[in-house]
Amino acid sequence: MASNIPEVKTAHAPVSTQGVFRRTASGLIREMNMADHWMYNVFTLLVLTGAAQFYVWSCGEFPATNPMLGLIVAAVLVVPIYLAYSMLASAMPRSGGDYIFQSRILHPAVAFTALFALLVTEWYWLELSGFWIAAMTLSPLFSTLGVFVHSQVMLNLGAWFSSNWGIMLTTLVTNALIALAFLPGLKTYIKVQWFLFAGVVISIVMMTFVLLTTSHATFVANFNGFMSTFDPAHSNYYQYVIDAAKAAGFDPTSGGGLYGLIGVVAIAWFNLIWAVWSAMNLGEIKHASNFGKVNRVMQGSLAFGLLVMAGTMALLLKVCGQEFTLALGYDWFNHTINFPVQPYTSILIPIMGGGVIVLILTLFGFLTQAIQQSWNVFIGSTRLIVAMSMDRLLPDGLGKISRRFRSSPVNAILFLLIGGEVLALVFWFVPNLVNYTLSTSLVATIYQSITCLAAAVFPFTAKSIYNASPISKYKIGNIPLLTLCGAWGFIVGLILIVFYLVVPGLGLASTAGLVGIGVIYLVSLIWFWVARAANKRKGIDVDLNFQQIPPE
Amino acid sequence: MQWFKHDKQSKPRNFTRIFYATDIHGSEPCFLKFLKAAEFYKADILVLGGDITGKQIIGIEKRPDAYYSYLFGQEWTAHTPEELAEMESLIRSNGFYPCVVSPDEMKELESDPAKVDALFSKVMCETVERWIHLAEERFRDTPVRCFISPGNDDHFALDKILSASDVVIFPEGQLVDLDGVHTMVSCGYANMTPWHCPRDIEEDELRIRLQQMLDKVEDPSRCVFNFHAPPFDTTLDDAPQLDADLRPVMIGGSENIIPVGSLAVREMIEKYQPLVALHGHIHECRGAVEIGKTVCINPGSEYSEGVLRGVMVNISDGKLLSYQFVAG
Repeated sequence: MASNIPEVKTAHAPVSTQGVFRRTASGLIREMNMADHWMYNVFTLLVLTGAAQFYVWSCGEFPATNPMLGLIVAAVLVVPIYLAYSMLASAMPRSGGDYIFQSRILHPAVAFTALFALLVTEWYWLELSGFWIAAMTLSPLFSTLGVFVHSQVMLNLGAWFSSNWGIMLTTLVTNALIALAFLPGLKTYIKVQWFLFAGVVISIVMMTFVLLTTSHATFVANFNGFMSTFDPAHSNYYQYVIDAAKAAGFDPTSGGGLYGLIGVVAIAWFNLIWAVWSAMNLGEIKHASNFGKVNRVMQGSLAFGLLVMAGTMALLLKVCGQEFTLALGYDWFNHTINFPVQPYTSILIPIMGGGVIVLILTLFGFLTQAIQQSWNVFIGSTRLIVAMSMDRLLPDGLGKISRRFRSSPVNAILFLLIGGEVLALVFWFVPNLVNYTLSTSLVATIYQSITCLAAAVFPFTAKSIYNASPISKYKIGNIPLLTLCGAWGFIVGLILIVFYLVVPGLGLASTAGLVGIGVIYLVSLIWFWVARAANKRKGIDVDLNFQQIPPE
Repeated sequence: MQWFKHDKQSKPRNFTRIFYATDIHGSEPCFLKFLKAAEFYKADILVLGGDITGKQIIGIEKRPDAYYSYLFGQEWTAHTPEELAEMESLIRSNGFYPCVVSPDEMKELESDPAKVDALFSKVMCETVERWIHLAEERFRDTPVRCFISPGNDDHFALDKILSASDVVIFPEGQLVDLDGVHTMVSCGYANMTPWHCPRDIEEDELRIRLQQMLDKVEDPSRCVFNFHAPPFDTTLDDAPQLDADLRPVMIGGSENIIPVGSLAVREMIEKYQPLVALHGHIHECRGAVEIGKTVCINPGSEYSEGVLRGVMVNISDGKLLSYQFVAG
């Protein structure tokens, strides 16, 4: 021990609060604060665009199940998973999130395979963003304006945006613009996010106001009037929607019970699970190592998303009528009717409102959410690419941070952009391929379940890190809370994976879809072993990247 | 979970492996891992690149009924000696110094910055002495060479402790031999930060210090630069701009990120083109960049999570064969 200890002089007085004494020392600050983080999470829940698909999809496929109940059950199931993610974030607040968790706790081959497959499906997400902008926002915008102002040009423009050409070109342009906007790095996004979020809030407020103030009779009259512009042969389009569904075999008593409930949960999962996406950029979130704060942000965004989606669904059923809403979902999902405009909330609400202001304010949020969704793909995926590249499993250059565009992995952005643009062209040539976007749910649930498994075993396989983290004090009995939450998430995930694989209504129970996913996983696994061997030849043992040094 | 088997080394290596870590800021697990890294990563040379001391003391108040501390935004209690040891271990794991005090002593500390200064001196020096003792036990009579240099956050009081060891090498301000072929120069000083840390100096002074050291280097292409401060404007040095009150400068609602590395360090790398340059200081700027022929590396730091970030650098006959980031 020191026997002759010199005096330490600090330039500023040390800080003390509640027995915590700090000396003056340098430190860093992360870019995304908790408010930014919360908004980011709300965006990932897709409370407008993704939710619009939930309303028609769940009603069409599982009509005998109460969709609000499905949403509530899904949210309850998600709560422990968010707890597990918050705890993992607190212990390992690094960019790359799930990849870091899985590779360090389970095995790098598992992590790389699961997350590289996710990267591939991120290209599908870029297509989905383009689709939402074209078919869910711009098409309704111009179609409705065309009806309101009696403009054939507007009507044609609306029709064009929902065509394959319109969707493809919108996707190409959106991807390129968002990639360009992301070049300066995350801080530009954080500035823009407030504007984008304002759009979503305005849209939610407008939708709620319209739904609360519109009677069922008004909706029916407005809907029939609107649709007769496109289809004069059906002056009562409202009844036509119901009759067409029944004629095609629609049974409102089908898709109920536990089977139906799990089915609706599986669709709601597409929305409510996605706050976990922010784990990809944990390295840039302030207080990411504070379990309490991260958990509050995640659970808070879930509560907000649940409230918006369940509230909107309940009001839709009331205003539009239950039989019609269920039949509309059936017709949409099974293509029973070739709708002149996609029957999402983005068109139903403006029809109810019957005015240009309602139209613009409602669609503004859909547009900003779809733009954010595209940006979101670039944000999370580039962080994942950088983490994999740092581990030498992807080429070094792919994860390089640009010196010109500070803090921005330009090559990773380009990689995503090129893949997204190619896929947009492929979708144009092979339109049915768009059905495989549904595979994103399966791939996502697989990687999230693996992360939950990692969470469950973390206290036992990486004891030194776990014990050093503040989450080690949370136990139920003698079992770590993290283990319980992780096990919960893993079991729930397995059930949903089975559903995605066997239930046709969830879109994946086809040979082509399953083969496609299988190929992605196989390629990912082969890539891992090839990269590992190639590094070995260069004297780099990548296995060492993933192993914990025992401190003793 | 180790599913891979390590390859056995059947033949002697024809390169030298350096394991470099930095900015562990008082984290006990990180230091213990650093000592273990020689064996784990099969490194011939260990270099700890500065900022080894912690930034916070967590006072543990001894009251009649229990021990109380405030950590991670909440109160923690320990009722038994075992629980107290567990609490102290948790505090150390996060790079803080635990200190058991009476309620009266706690009040004195809270009201008297001079007493806190004195306490910091005591706990930092005691900790580093203990660590050096552990390193001596580990590496005495082994071929592993262990270099521990200070960083801008480290007080000068440590120099005496570090240089007193006959096993651990204190390389600050010196040209040292690494393996008979390669050399290393070390500088823990950094260009001025807003905190005015103990080894913060102006660029001109830093330039003179570096130049004096580099004048002794015969062959820069076989020399490793162990400079705590990263070179300016290289992405290894990005940090939020701070105002005079140490608050982030906001532009358009967002923190303004600027390069904060050293111009002098950059100039010396550009001028001498060393074999490799190892840096720390900016914890979140893990990465590698090239300045001319020189690869400059900052392995970053995650000391507060008990994770030892580092980089393995393989060199042979004046060539950088490869480098690999690791986090254990």
